[in-house]
Amino acid sequence: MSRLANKEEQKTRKKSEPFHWLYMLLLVTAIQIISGGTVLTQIQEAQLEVLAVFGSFLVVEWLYFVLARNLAGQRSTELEIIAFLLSGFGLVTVASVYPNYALKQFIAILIGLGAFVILLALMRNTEVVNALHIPVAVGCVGLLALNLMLAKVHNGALNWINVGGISIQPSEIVKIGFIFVGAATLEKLQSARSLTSYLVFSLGCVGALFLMRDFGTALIFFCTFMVMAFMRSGDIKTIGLIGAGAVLGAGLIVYFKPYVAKRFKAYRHVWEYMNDSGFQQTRVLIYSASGGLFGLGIGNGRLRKVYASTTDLIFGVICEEWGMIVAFCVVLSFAFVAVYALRLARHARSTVYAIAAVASAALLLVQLSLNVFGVTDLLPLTGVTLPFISRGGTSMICSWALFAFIKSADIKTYPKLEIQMEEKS
Amino acid sequence: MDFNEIFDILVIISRYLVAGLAVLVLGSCVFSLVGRQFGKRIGSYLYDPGSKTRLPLTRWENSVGRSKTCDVVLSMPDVSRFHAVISKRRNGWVVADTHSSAGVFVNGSAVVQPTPIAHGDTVSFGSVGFVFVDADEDEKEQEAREKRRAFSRKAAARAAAMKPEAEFYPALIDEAGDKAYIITCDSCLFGRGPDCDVRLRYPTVSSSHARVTAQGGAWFVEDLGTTGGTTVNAKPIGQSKRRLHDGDVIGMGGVIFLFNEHYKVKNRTDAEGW
Repeated sequence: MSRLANKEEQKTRKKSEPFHWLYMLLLVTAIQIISGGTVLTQIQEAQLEVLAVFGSFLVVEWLYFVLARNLAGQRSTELEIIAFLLSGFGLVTVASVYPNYALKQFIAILIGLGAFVILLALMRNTEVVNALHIPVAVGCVGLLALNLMLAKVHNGALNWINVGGISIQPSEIVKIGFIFVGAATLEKLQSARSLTSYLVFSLGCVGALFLMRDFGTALIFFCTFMVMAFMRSGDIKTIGLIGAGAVLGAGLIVYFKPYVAKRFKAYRHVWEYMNDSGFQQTRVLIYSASGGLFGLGIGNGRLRKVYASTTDLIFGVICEEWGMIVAFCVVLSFAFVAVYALRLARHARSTVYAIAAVASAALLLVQLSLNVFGVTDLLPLTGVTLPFISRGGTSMICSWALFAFIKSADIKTYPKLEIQMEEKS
Repeated sequence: MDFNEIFDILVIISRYLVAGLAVLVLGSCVFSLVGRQFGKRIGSYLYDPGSKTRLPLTRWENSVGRSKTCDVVLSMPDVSRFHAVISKRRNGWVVADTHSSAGVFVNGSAVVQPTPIAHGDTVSFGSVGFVFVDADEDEKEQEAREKRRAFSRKAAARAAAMKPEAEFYPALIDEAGDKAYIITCDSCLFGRGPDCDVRLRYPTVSSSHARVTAQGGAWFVEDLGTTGGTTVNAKPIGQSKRRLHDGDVIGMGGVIFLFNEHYKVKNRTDAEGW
């Protein structure tokens, strides 16, 4: 195909694209400027620092899109628009509650973006993914073992380690490795024929999380494992058996270790413990309702004064201060990304991408559900973060990396590869 | 209205604006992501010439085996439950044996490593053989077949149209009147060279000397930049295209010919240009 013909084709494609990234980026920037401006008028401390952080965030955002569109030839940037929109919501909320934490959150977004780009490059070649399976699996197990050895109990769980003054949650990083190791080509899956090795690896991860008493993350890992196991084997009976085994195991744990059940005693009874173990859930329900459709305005809420308002309860803060419409947008964006991942899986150029995309979308959905339904007492409160929005560096990095897995399943992510395929055809 | 009141109003507007913009951005992203078209369908297949059945390969990676969960199910006893995988890669299609008991063969050779397969190759799973049909190549072949058919139809129609006047052709007759150079095509190259439609074996004639063409029912001659030049009725035609009339005298490198628009061919073997 001649260069001229390519240019003509690109022009036609540009005309037929229903999604105008520049308009969307302008709208996202407008949202961020309005909300960031509101925060700057309200905070009393570190105003200059927060202003610099917001400005840098906007520069990074624009720089990414300009480079991605013009240097990397990216034509499909909807996922990044959603990721930047959600990260922006998180950054603004965190800066309004803890202005001094804004810089850390911004650095986490930067590292997350870096991880996103690196993972996209790694996922380009399925042979590279296959070759890295064992080192990544060993790394994950090692990281969890290190966590068990070094971590100190924090909020009843052993999931934080301190490295040079920086707190890291290894289980968040292991989420990326967990999906990376589970994604394999059909040829490899069919040659292995059994789930045993992956089952052992997964049980090791989930077991380590149980030992850490991080039940929320353990549940996320287990649900993701079920999705991946189904996609790897296509055998519903085996998956059912594993599910039944897991339920039985959980029952035995609750029977022999009653302190585990105690942690969830307020579930469905939060009003009975409204000043005790149901304090957070009841405040989320009360203050979310007072936010209405359009919210009370950033900085005008009362939930921000409750413990963990920018981590576990951030959905409540969004409902109260930003309003129910924005909160629904947050939830729906993950739901539609999952639909997109499912559609991608049907057309993916390898099972590596199909498994990685669907598992990532499932993980994000499960985590979102545990957070949103946990704080609203529809599910037990397990203390997991809201992807992209909650305060926390490793959680932010993990969220961006999971989006990279979804994006890699789209052939449009690799324009040179797409052109090669078209030329071959 | 003081500054604080204006500021409060702006804050209220911003709340509505942020919610509206968020819905707009998300709506556009969702519309674009969920409504995405994923290019053309993979249409390659395995063809069994015996039963004339086609087993479509609709995915980039297709599992082949006896198990019902396989993409291509082969219910034959010597086919393993998970026998092989046929994948579409960047450079073409590849077949891999996934530890089957009876093996996979491409054109009779056993597959040990993932092996490339081309359009028309015979791929066997144990004793069960199929012809691999690559959709892209198949499409190209069909196009070529269609072109050939169209060409044959056109040629047949042309032959049928020419049949009643098959004995009359335009021709160049030499000075002595004993040799006729018949013009049998719409664009006839005259010259000494072996690639010419009508070869004029005279030393003064260039290897590609002149071209005689039919346009709108009339005949024209043009010189192809020769040193000897071409004349019509003793006038050099230079680089221009000159119309020919019955009885015109054409000179090519000093050799004279008479143009006869309706030359009657008695015996085709006597005439040059056939």
